[in-house]
Amino acid sequence: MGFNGITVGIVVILVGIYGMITKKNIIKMIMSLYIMNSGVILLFISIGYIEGAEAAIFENTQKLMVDPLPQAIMLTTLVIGLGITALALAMAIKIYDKYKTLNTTELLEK
Amino acid sequence: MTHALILIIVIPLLGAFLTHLTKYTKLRRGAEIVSVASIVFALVLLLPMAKTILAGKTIQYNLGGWPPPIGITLTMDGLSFFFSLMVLGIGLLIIIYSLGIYVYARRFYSLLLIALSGMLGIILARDIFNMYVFFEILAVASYVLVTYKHKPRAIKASFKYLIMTESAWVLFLLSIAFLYGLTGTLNMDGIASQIPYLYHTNPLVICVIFSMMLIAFGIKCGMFPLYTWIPEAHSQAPTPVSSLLSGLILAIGLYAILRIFYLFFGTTLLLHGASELIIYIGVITLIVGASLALVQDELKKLLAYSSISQIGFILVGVGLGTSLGLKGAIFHIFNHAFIKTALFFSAGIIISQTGFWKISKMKGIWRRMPSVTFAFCLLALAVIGIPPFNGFVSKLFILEATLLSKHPVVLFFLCVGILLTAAYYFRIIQTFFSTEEFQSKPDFVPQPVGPFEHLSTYVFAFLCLVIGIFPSLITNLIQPAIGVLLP
Repeated sequence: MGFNGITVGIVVILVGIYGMITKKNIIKMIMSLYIMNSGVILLFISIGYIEGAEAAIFENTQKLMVDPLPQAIMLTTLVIGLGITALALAMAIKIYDKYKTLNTTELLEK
Repeated sequence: MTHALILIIVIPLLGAFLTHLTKYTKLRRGAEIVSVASIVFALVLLLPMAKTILAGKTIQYNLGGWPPPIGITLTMDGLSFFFSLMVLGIGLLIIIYSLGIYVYARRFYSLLLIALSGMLGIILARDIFNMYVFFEILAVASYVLVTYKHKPRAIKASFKYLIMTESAWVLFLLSIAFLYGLTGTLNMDGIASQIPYLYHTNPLVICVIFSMMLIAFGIKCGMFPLYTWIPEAHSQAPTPVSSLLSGLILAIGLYAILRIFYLFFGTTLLLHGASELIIYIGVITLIVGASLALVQDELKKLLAYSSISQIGFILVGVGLGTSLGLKGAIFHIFNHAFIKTALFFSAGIIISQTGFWKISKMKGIWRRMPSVTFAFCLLALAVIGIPPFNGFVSKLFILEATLLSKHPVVLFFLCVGILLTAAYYFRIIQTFFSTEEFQSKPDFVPQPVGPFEHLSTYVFAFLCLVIGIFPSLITNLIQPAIGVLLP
């Protein structure tokens, strides 16, 4: 297996899943969520990547071009991820205001 | 109307933004008028398609006029028609229910309309990435709706819902990435046509994609180990939102399972053991949900666990994959959405009138509010599946399909599940009709409950009876949907 974007993407996703399972702090859980999301974005963009190719902007040249579709749709995913993270952080602020803790085991008891 | 399909999605979305603009007009209750009008408008656009759909044809619309492999396609076929009718009908009744409660402001109607348009988008989209985007739209709107009253416990529940659902969508996106890498297209029909070849060359990859999608949709619809967000989010949300979550959002998860699994894996993986997996997950979900409901004392939490056990029932029907099993499953999705929405409505009325959340405190409540208690009991009988209610017909279809496909163990557990359902609902009915005098909370001021809340609850209860007596009203609509799933 070569050291390419797809491999790195999968490793990043696994790091995110590990964090999601083991971390008890709400902020760290949100970070793990965003890391998972970033891993998928990296993997998806690497699918359309061709070594030595150019961005898909049409000129009168016969050069290789990368697949523009993953880049276009990953922009959408980035924006969604941003929105979700902002919402989750807003909820974390509210939870901290009410309970004065961010630890999930302590929150479950309250 | 050539643009009807996109307008069905866009009109509720436009209505969502117009509700905020009513602040600058002299209109009294402008947000409510706009939201009801936009849903009715979408229904008016949808209903003329019935003739084409019932004849077994499909309507296709290419966004921007680009043909399928390049552009984004919206398709209306039997399955989409049935589900969009259900979403719009139940969505309209949820809005009518919340009309009477004055605490719901513009923001609430706006979010509700965004959620409904997200659902319609999921139902109509034929591009798998677009489906993901509409899922996220629905998810974001529903997180905020759960926290609508800013109760601390609701925010906690919503956060749990957010973390679990977002992990599900990351997995779904990962499986989309794999599918795009393997097939080079995002169009669902295009992917489906290449899956059999991929399955023969490399079955492992298809298995991985299937399991990631199963986990993603399992979190959304509440499969056995992944249901933990359901009880908290359902019980902490305001009443109309609980009905939306239980009635429609779980149904959308099941729609995705029906649509994607039967389209992608219908001829490959589902025939080689995956359907058995879905059946047994369904049985475990059924038994676990029902057992947890049996020991539950909080009314709304009990209804949430009851939803989980009914989902198990539906999953068995989905997994069987026969024509009769799918008929029962789709019919039960409809019935469950219908009955559970109304049960949450009546539970909401009872809770707002008494201030009690615990069932044990509601002894002898029928003297205080006879009509709502009566409606609750009728709906409870409908969930259990007692004739002549609609729950009976769909459960009968699923049981018969299980019997015909020779799964005696599954049949036994389905009957146990029905008995458990009866046990916990009869416990509530017994408490409601207890001979003891009802002890009200000393310093509790009941919020006024208007005619709209009562009206929508009774309409639902009456319709349950009508559908139970004339099931062919709905089964005729389901027939083209089965034609889509089993070509």
